[in-house]
Amino acid sequence: MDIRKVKKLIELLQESDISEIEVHEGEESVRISRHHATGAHQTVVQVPLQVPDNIPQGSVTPESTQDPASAVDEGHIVKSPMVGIYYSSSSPDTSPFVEIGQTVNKGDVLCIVEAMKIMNQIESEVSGVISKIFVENGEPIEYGQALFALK
Amino acid sequence: MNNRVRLLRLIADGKFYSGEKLGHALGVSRAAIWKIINSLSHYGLTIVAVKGKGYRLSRSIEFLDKQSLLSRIRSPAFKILNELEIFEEIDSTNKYLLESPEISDKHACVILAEYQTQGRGRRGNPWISPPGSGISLSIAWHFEQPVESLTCLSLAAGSAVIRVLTTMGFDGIGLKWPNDIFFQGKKLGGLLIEIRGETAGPCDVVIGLGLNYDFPVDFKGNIKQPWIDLVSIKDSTASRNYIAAELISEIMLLLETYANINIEDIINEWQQYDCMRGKKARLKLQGKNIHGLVVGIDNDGALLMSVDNRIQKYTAGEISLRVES
Repeated sequence: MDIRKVKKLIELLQESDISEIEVHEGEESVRISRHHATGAHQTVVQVPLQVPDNIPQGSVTPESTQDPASAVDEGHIVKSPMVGIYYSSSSPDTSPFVEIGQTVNKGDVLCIVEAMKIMNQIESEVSGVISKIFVENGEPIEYGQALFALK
Repeated sequence: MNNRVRLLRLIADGKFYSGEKLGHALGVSRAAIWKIINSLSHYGLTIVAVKGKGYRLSRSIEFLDKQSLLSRIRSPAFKILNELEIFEEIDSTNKYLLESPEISDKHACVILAEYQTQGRGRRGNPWISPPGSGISLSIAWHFEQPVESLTCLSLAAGSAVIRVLTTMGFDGIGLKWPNDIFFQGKKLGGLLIEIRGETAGPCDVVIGLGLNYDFPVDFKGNIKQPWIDLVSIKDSTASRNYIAAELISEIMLLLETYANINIEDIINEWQQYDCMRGKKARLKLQGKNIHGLVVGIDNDGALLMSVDNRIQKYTAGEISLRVES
């Protein structure tokens, strides 16, 4: 499907009260929703990956392109153990647990992930320096999503 | 024990004590007693002062007693109890356990406090309870399973509290998703579960419970929503130590059996206590207010709300449900 068409659909959704649009065109389909499964408000575009039949299996590695963390060597990646909301600090008016460039020890708390009012303090599995933070405070995150890179 | 705590223990029965008598007991001047009495109001306690009679608490206080608790904790829970500690004053019982370096070795450990200086709820929300007026406790438990399997613990712990209160003859106490304890639209208590652990491995769970037991008459603390305490619900309320011991037993036994409990059973039981179903509510999610009608919970325990005639599912976020008038 033409990306301009998708863009148009997103605009249409934003201008209206509609929370979801699904369009089928032959074998292609796109569903644009305001409401993410976890309850967060965001726009999700799902376009099925079209792989021509003549390309042998294995030459397409969607995981390496989807996961920003594994695309390049970032060092050790800390991933989320659950679906939830990411918090960089213990409460809204305290400073973040860690910042880029900070040295952490194994067992130090890096962030909090909340699900069902369970506040889960994520500990670092290794010692190192925080080289990257992939998520923003308050952002909904998925199971296995990369949160930090440590070097 | 500081003079404030000593004085509070002296006048705990709610009877009149003269400044002179109290001064003598503590070895301080009457002026010093007057100062301490005044300071009690900062803690949310109400003192009645009558010329010629002295001072008394607006309500008597039943202090927690370690021996009394230990003798009342049910034997299957008692067997797995490793440590039980009562603090006169602490910043937060949850914080104490979470920050304890040897938390994994503390399984199972129970911490209670007569007064928390920084009692906490979700995301920095304060939990306010004057000395000796509530049940503030935290239980530390070590789980071998990863955190992913523990999400319904939030609901199950709420149900455990309701079971205890129901057994003690309290009717009509319900839950607001996921585990706030309510009576007729007023907050009676709440739970806060905090977990420490590496992402894939075993974890340490701390379940914190705050329950309003017997608040001072004319309590003027800064609680920003309608609230109620147990003694206002029922005339002959069981003793504070007994209720605390029952809550500890029930929550410990839940933790002990949690891995074998059916999620379906947890959901079914929780639904019986749902006091928000069918009510209009406001849901605060990442700074936005969502208005809708509470439908209930789904098979995974997520909150279901009808927003603009569409059922939406919520599992996390800046959630605070308030009944709309």
